[in-house]
Amino acid sequence: MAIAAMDINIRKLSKYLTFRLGSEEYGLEIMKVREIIGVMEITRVPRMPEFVRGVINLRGKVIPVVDLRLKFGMAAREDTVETCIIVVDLGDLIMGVVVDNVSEVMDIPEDSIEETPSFGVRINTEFILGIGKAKGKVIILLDIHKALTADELSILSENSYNIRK
Amino acid sequence: MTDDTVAIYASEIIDELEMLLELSAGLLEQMDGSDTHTLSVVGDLMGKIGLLTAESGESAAMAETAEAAVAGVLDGTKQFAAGATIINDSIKWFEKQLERARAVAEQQQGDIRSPQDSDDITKGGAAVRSGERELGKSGRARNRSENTIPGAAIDVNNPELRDFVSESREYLHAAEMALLELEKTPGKIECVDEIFRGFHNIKGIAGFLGLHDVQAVAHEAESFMDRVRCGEFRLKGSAALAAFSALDFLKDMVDRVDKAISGAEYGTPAGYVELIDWLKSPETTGGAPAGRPINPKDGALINKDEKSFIEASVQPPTAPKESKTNGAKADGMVKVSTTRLDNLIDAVGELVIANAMVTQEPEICRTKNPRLSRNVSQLGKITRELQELAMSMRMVSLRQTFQKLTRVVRDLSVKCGVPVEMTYEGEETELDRNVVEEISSPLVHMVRNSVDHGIESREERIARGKPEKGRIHMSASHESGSVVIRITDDGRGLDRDAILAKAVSLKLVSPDALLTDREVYNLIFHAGFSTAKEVTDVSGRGVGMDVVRKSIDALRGRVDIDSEYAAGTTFTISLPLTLAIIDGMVVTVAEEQYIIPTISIVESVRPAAGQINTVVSKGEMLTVRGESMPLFRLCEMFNVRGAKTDARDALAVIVGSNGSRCAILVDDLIGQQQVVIKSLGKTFDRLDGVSGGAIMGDGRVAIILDATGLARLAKSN
Repeated sequence: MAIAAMDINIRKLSKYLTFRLGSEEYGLEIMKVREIIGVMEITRVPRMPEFVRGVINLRGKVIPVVDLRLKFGMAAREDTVETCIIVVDLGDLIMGVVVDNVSEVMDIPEDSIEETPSFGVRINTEFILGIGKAKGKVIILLDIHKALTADELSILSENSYNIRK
Repeated sequence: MTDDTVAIYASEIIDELEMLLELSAGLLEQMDGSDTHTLSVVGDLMGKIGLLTAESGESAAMAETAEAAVAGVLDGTKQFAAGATIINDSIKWFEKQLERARAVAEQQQGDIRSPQDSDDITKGGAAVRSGERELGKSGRARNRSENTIPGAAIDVNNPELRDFVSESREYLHAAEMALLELEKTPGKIECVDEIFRGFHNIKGIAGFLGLHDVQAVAHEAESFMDRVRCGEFRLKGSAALAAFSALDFLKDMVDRVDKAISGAEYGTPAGYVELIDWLKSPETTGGAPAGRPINPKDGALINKDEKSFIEASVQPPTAPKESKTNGAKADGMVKVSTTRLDNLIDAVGELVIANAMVTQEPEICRTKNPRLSRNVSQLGKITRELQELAMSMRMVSLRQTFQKLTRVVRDLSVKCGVPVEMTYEGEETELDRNVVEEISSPLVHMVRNSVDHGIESREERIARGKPEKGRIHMSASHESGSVVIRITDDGRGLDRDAILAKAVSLKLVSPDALLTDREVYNLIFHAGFSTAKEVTDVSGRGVGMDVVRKSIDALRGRVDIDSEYAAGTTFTISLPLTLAIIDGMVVTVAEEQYIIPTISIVESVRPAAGQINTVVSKGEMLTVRGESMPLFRLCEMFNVRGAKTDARDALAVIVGSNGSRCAILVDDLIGQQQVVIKSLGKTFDRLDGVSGGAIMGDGRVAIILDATGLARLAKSN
């Protein structure tokens, strides 16, 4: 029994939830995903950077929601019926991420993952785990923790505090 | 030895005696080195044996010798080895007696002669004791340096330790109150008994749990109180100080045990040996050990000079008004873990939200089904009841806080050499337990300020025609949904000019600014502010009042100051009744909804044309009934598009306390409702002006604004 459970977990390690932002396909470790919900009304929190869309009520718990497009510097886009919020568990923080649409859960074994090429100093690729290839598609695998690190966000709010001073 | 030995060692007791002796012997065998815990258990067993064999004078004496030997080892006057030997011998003697008694019981005859060695042992015991007496003072001096601090075995996993901490605190609190009362009326024997009982009980549990240093202090304190009870000396002057010191020391020890349970290292506090000696002979030791603060936490030095010992009197609380809490005395009490309680309250909070979501669903509101309507209504009623019950479970009265403040005032009064009397009323007023905890520090600080800076010296007061004793009065009451706590003193009052001068020098205000009295007084809440000429270690460092203000803000409360020069000062604190549920006004700015806690709102006004003026064509000002204040537009502060531009169409919400009011302009007010506060999480917790989120009836999250933060934000932009 225990071995079977362990086996499932190990198999889960190579599973990724894939989603789209514009024309690009991304992947998130399935272990970090708590749930996926359709886009709902997001309450704006004032004085936060654009990519912080605000907060939502997730069954009684208030969680922050980030627009991944804006976080990655892409152009903003109106929410459509396909837009989803992926609720991720960052360990000490639960956060929602707005994406254009969610594709599927894919199994991408390690040997199908290549190292991220370097684009020079202008582009920071620390938050990319690697480039996966599956079913003929190129999937950019994200280290969601680094991509959304709360530290960054609180540094931002600290900055706004400092600017005021 | 006579026949009575045969009589008492009758068959009924033989078995029990045998068992006790076996137990004692066994324990002694297993005991190693300096295991005072086991020794004291054996001592108790010898006591039982003594009772059992009490009719035989010799047996009783033997048991007593053994018990005394144990006591001697425990309080350090006897060497462990010597004590153990005496006990061993006693046990052997009893065993011999037992043998003979058995033989007699079987034969119903025979001559029971007391074994020769019984006299030797008793003589031996007596010799050791008299030898000690002969040592006299020099011996005591020698013993003082030999006094080792008995260890305490803290078994972190022992659940009884937690009980010990909470029970001891209760006993110590009761003892403290009795001690204060006794200081005022030295004859009151019930007070002496109460204090005695407190020490006695703590001694018992501490001993049982192996906390020998605590036990030793409690033992000395108990003996001390016993001497007071017997009239050996009165509880005044140095003696009273000794009692207070013992109390504080025990408090400290209990705190350390508490911390040890959570993993900290346990150590006997400094001053242990001195305290023990002092309690043993308060009159000879002549007061507190020089220069050593007995009360490590307060840092209050005990004043050696008895002449300047000034009593602060405690006025017994006025007759409690009819309140719900009176009934509580008749109920039993249950101990519940605070985690469980918090979980329960969270769950009730969720229920309130879920209920609101159901009742506000349009389909439910519009239903024509009478049964559904009735059931929903019933559901709402039960939810509200549950909510009130859950909230009340976290409520705690201010009584202990006020009583603690009484002690603080007394100590300060002694230390500063200023006679002060503290009275209070409304102590039965209840608040959420978190709030009571958090408000304790600010109150202590304000009271310290009063005694240290507010109340004048005796001479000054007499010169001013005031009563000799300074008076500080605290009151608490429920007023329109909040709790209001007032601290009034009849001292010097605030010096407006000095404060203004200091503020100007700190560049808080410009020299030619026109400020009302209230605005000036409120300046003392700024960081780094203190007009005290010297910084005493009681207060005056200037870090106090701004922390006070911050603490009260954090509790979503307000603090106001009113003062009259040479007459006195009053602080008024108002606090919300619960932390998790607040009363809020729902306002809109364009499409966004915000909640402003009702307690922060002074008033809201639809500005008329003449009430708004621009200043240097940048700032806006609102004038209401002659008072002018800055006006800030929320849409600008929060970057919201589509808000109303004409202020006369909009709503100005006036927030802030006396002296620093400002007006926030919103579009409209759509209602008032109670909301459950939800934390927004650490992502947003440094955001000025936002204190949390609330889940509204339609399930959406609304941002709860923090008025003070908003004002701060607005002014810095």
